[in-house]
Amino acid sequence: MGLFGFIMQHPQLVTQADRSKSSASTSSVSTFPKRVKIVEVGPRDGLQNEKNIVPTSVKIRMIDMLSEAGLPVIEATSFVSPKWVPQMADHIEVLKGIQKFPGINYPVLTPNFKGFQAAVAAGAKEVSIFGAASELFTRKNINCSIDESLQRFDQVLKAAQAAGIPVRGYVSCVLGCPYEGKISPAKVAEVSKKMYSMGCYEISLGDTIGVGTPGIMKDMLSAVMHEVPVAALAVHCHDTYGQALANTLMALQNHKPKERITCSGISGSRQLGGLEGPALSALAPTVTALSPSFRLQMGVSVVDASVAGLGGCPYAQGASGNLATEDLVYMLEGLGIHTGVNFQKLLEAGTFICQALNRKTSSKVAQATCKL
Amino acid sequence: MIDMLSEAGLPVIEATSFVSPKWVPQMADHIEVLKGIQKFPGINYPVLTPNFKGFQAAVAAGAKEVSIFGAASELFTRKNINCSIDESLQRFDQVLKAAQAAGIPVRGYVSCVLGCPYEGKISPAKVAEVSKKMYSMGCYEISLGDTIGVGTPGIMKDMLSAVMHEVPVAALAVHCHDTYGQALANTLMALQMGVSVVDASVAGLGGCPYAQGASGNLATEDLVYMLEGLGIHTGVNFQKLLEAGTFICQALNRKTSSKVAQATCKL
Repeated sequence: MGLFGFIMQHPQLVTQADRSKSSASTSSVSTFPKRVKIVEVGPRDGLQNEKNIVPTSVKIRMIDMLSEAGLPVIEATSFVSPKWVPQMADHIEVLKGIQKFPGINYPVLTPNFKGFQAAVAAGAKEVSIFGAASELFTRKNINCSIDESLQRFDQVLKAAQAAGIPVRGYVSCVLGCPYEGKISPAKVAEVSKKMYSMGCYEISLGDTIGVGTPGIMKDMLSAVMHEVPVAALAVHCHDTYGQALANTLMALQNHKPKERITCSGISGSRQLGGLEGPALSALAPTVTALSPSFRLQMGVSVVDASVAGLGGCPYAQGASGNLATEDLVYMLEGLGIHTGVNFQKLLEAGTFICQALNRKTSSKVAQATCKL
Repeated sequence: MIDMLSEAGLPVIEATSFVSPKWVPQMADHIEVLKGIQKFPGINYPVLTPNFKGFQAAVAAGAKEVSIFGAASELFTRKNINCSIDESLQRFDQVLKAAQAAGIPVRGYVSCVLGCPYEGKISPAKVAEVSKKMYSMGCYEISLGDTIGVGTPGIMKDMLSAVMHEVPVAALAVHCHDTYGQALANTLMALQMGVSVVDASVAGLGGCPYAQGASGNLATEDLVYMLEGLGIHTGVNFQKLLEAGTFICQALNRKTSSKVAQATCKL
């Protein structure tokens, strides 16, 4: 039968719908959102970093299969010059060729106003733009400062607003930069705030090189949440150092602000060797004596992922790429969080694209269930 | 491999298993391994002892700490060693009494704590019951294993909540398999609950006999990367740990399962 068949016959292993009952009477440990919107970036972020060029028909089939799997947002392609990203040269054909399922959004990346115009002409109903939390990264990538890069997007945002086209904003390097190293949470908050106030409906915070760990994720989110409502935030974790799912878990948790944690609640801290800073706030377990007026921070409820964990990292030879959608859905289902995704069909989409790319999947769930 | 892991500063390195070579040919050289490794001061080298005979052989070979195995699933125990959980623990009673008399600490493993390949869902109460028994029989530490890696953080939390009612958290460890990519997230949840002992395997060695092609243990490199990022002291020399992983993967002629090692590998 294989383990997948086993799992499907024992759905109680992967769902935990009645979990919420048991914690109602106890002090609340971190809780989770009831629903998470998954933004599938495999066809764009994933394929963009794959060395084998994929035929247009394969891209279209991949996206159609992801639609059938019920992913609510699928980033279809990028209206970037083929000179820079040959994999995305067929952006017009892809956008026109895919089936547009009702209730599913198909944003496309638009690196500049020209790309935006081409996207709209090809029928795009939503676009994405990119910023970064690192000056050096921006300078090296597009040869200008962060502020200048945002000014360039102003034209896109104004035109998008006039056309009634929502714009999603990405912020890169939120947990670390290949050039600058450590990135201050305040800087991430500043860039996020700017993009949000310029008109982006959602800000996707990307750990571009996957160097982040859960405490850094939490500190960064704490800073950003002061400037942007959590409902407008998404996390986009790369798995270069195996941290993506743990970082995502941290982002999903409702946390208590650091200053409210009393020592009596931290029974584990002595064993943990005297924590400070991010470790303390990240790991403080159940706090048993909170005042009722205490206001909980909400967790993030939008997560970007890539089917089969496609993509790589241009900064680390041989490194892995995005968080695998299958592994993310497995965790969310286990937590009793609604995703709307048909798991079986998602696995099929991953199998399809890996065969087309002639590569092994990077999804652990897919590896465990693969009978080949 | 073990000497390199010692040089990397890992405080506990499970060296081998005193099991019959008929069952586990890879561990047939258990006596030579235990006698051959350098015993660094401050590092413990427990060995698995599946029964009293194995225990005696381990002590004769110089073992100073042993490990025994239980499970939270009756079916799993029945299929593996053809008896009930209680019977399996009775068999270990002889080991525990002899170990106590000899001043040898015993670590207890509980398998299938987040799910079983035969029974499916495992109740937290059952895990707590088995853990409590092994702890009261004399195990100084209970390592809770998600043997087939099916667990997710909420299930980890519920299981630990139940066990922590019966065994002090300082005596608990988690042992997560990465079969479904959940190991590090589950470990993070366990740390948030107060657990401060984590089992891991360099390069993520191991596999899963129940899932063809599936991955194995949590990779020590990836665990240390997270702990260091959280500001948690481990005592591990990261560079030497990476070297140990490179060494064993070359010897096994396989790729590492550690993402950190993949990212830093220049080959």
